[in-house]
Amino acid sequence: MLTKLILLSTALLLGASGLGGPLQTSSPDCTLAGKLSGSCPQADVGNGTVQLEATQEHVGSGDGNFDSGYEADGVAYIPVDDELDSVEEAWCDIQRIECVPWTPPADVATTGPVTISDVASFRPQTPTAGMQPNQWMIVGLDTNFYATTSAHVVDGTLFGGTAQVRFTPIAYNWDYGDGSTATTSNPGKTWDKYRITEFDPTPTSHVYEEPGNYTITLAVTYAAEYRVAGSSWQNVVGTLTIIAPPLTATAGHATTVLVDQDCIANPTGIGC
Amino acid sequence: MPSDASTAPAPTSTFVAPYATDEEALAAAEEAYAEYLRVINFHLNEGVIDEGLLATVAIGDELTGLIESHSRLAEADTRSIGEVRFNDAQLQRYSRDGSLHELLVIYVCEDLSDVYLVNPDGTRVTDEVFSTELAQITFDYSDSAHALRVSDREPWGEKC
Repeated sequence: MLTKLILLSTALLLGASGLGGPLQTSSPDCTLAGKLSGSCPQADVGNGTVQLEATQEHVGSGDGNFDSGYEADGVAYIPVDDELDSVEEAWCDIQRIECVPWTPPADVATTGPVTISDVASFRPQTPTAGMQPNQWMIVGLDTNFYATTSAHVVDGTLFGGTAQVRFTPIAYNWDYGDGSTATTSNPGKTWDKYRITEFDPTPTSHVYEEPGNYTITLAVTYAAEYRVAGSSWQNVVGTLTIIAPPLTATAGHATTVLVDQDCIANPTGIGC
Repeated sequence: MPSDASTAPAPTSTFVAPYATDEEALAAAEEAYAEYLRVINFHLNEGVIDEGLLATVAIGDELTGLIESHSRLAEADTRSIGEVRFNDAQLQRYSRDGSLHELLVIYVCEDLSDVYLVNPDGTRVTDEVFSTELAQITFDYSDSAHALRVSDREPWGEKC
């Protein structure tokens, strides 16, 4: 029996086993009802850019040290000293007032809008990027990219009180390494999860026109909300962008030939 | 291998492709998606939840998601003004030799430009302005109902 097999002009077949991938999770409600009620994030992808209230950009591998003073939307929070000996002292330092008895965190609402800078010590999970095929692509065919991240809650301290910050991914910014970029509100997922066949287009797939080595970078933009002492979630002004560890991959040409047998099982078979 | 009709094994699968051609499959999918949107628009317009009616157009995780979403809207007493429409249906895949599960996949252009949700007091639920969006729709085939059911709806986040 003749078997049709795709052979690559470069030695890429070892990567073929990577067609699977991590499962994608998503918390937004993107049914039509969810979309209309604002429960499904939207990104302006009309011209490849997205309007972001970006005030922070972190690299996933960074140390996340944001202890120095900063300014956020007209409200400056400048610690008086570098050491926060207690919750009470931290609160007094931030307020630049004489230390007074502890004020419950719920009073955060009276200090004005909480911005993304205020929650800089809350680090969202680093997103990761995946691709199919794994670390290789065929020139002229779609390569499928996807992000693995979802909404999640981080515990920490806000203005001296315990608080939680919920990070929700709202935009995925792809730099495909060949001069092309894309911004989507869709994280993408594997071909299998899309229920389509390999090399079919997806919302986040990309076609490479030239062979070569490429570095693909994903930056995920998160919106944030906070809550203290069991209160409801409140919006945080601004967004936070986290860059995932980059992917490196090789693009090559493909040729379709007829072979006598499975070339992986019998590499010396006719046509292999 | 020489064939021998007298010893040929009986077919082990009962799968029979319900549509003879891609065109026929696409037409059936368009009709099924129109019915799906009719039911969704009914739920949005009336602010109700009718699980039995939803089950006539959706199945599996898609049905579960619809029930959850429309239950939330019904509890909040929100309803829609206008209707969701679609056009430009294109066949992505029609599997003639597989199973009735995920039999058909199409792309459609959904139009949400003339629809929005309102609260009981008539105010809009969100100020977001919606337009068109490309979506990928997967269908299972119900052998008992002789009809397609939406088993997955995947918005691409792109205008169309």
